[in-house]
Amino acid sequence: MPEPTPHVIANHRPGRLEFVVAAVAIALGSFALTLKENVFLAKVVLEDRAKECRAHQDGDPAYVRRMLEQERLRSCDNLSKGLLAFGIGCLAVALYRRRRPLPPFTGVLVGALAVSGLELGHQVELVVRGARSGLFTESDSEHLVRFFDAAVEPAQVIIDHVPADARIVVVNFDDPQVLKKVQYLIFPRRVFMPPKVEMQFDVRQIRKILERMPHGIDWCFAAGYTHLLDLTTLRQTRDPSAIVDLESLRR
Amino acid sequence: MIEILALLLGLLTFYAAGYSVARSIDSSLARSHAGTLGIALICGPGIVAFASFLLDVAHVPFSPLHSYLVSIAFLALAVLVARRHIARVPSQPSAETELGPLLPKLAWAALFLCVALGALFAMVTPAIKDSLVNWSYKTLVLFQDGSVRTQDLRAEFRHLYHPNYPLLVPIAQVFLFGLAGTAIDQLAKVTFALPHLGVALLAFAEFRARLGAGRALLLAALLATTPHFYRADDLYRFAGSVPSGYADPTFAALSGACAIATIAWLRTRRRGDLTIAALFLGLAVFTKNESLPFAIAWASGIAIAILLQSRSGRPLPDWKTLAAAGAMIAGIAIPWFAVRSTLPERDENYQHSLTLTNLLEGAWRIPLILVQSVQMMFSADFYGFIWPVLLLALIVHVRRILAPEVAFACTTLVAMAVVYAAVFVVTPLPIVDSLVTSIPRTFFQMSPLAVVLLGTLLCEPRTKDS
Repeated sequence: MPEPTPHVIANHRPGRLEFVVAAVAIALGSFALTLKENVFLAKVVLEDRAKECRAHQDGDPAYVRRMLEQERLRSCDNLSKGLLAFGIGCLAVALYRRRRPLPPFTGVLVGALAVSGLELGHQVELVVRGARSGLFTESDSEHLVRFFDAAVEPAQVIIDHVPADARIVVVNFDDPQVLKKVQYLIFPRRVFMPPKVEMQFDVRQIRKILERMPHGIDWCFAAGYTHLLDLTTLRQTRDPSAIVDLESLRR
Repeated sequence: MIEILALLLGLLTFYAAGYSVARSIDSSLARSHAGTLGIALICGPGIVAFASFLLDVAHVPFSPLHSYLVSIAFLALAVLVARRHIARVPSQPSAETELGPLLPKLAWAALFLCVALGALFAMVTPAIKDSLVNWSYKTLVLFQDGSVRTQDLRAEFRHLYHPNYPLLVPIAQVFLFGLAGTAIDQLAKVTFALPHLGVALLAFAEFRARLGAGRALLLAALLATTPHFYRADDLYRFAGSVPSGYADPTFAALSGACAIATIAWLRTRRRGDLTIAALFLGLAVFTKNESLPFAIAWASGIAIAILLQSRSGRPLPDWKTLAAAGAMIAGIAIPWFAVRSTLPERDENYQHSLTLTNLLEGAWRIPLILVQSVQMMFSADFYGFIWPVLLLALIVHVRRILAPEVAFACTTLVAMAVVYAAVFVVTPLPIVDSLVTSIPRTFFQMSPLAVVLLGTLLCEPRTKDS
């Protein structure tokens, strides 16, 4: 026996919920935009968190502070944009509902979709920019570099992937500004690996790993684990031209 | 070109395997085209991987021959079961009649665009370091050594993290490697995008009957457009997305699908609905260890929902239904746990770490976890507005919280969240690093559950007549 399909609820007041939600979201979004500029409140919270982190682990305070600061900026920026998109989506449906009855909560769902649409637009833009820079026509590992070169600041990509104590990093960028930024920012990062696990690696194992790796992603892996391996061994194993000693970058 | 053809054959095999299951189990979800496709996309890779796993256990090692045998078998099975008649649900008003002409088109476009982007990014960006050592590299080892009995999973001096992690995702990729005859590690990642499309379609199929096609479509689109699922830019390194190469998208889809099928069962009490929910859960056990707390949360949710249903006069479920579900879960879990018992337990072992002493020692972390969780819920660039909208729906429809389906979804979600929080409390890793790298994944895993809860909250309360 099929169940009755609920359609439009005739006696639901048109758009009331959407109007309220839109007003609140737009107000909060606008406030969050100002918060991005005036970060007093957020700073107080983050200082507390950083203090707590320092008290309970041996992390580098500068690392913790920078990480939290970046996190705050990103969250605040995205939240404010999201709230505004959400509010505008709700408002549009609320206005539309005055002409045509819609099921309840439709406006809220459309508003939420508008928020996701923001990110979708950003990702489509990445694809377009990547395609223009030859992302989909290159076959070797350079396509990755070009993708990020086209899409985001390349230094940030390296920083994101390279632990602080990695001594060997594959860096394919010729831009000295990029290398300078890597050199400056990479060191506060730590290896995200329990020490006892690290000790279980030896040269033979790492060589085996590298031999098994398919071409094109070795730098990502090498960045994490080859600090126990001397540079010569790595160069013999993989493409030597793709390997740069981070120590030389320090100098 | 051969690699592309091999990938297409592999995807067709996944679909054939999932389709065979959807047509063989008498589930109300399979009575619509969207539901059948959803089940096929979610189950397909898992069923193929499990069949390959069983063959390997029976000493038929992973190889091109192995892959082609599996492929031919499932394609033949699909042809056989396609003849089986399934009663379709009567046609219902389309989303267009409810929302107007433009909005449904936009929602469908956004849904498919996100899945396409996820697949594209998966093919052009590499797996990140952490997922490489946990998943991708394991795939290469299994492909090269041809068996889960490889010494790389067992030897004392090894280079694989977590050797006893479940193997659905690596073996599904090994199957594709076998068809291609080489390690198509980039192309094979496209597999991760399919289950997420499947769970969105399944949500549409289930909620269409209760919410109408319009809002069901908006819910499905909301799920599929979760940015954390498909994004690939400077933040793609954050674990969990399809391009990053983790097993999380598969697990998220399986757990979400399990919840959807369970809600269908609570509504219909059809044995096939619970059986297919159990199949999703069994495959989740073979995908990620998080499935174990999920199984407990799921069982608790069902118990509460049945209790609430019995208070309103519905009979208790018959034992045959429960036995069929139990058998389905055990049929997948037992072979896996038998093999897993031979693999060493290394690295983080949270089952043993969750002790009262550890919880008390790590209690200082709770405020930090809560603050980070709230921040995650409002991270529009990670999850869109799924979580704020869920909070809003909980406030607006708080009186519906005791409806059996709502109680089930709510209990499951809350129990999962509590377990994840407990893991962060006891983790031996530095808490800040752990939160930054892992909490996005936990929220991503719970996103389908959040959408399911949202859907149940929007459903009008059922009267005795309905």
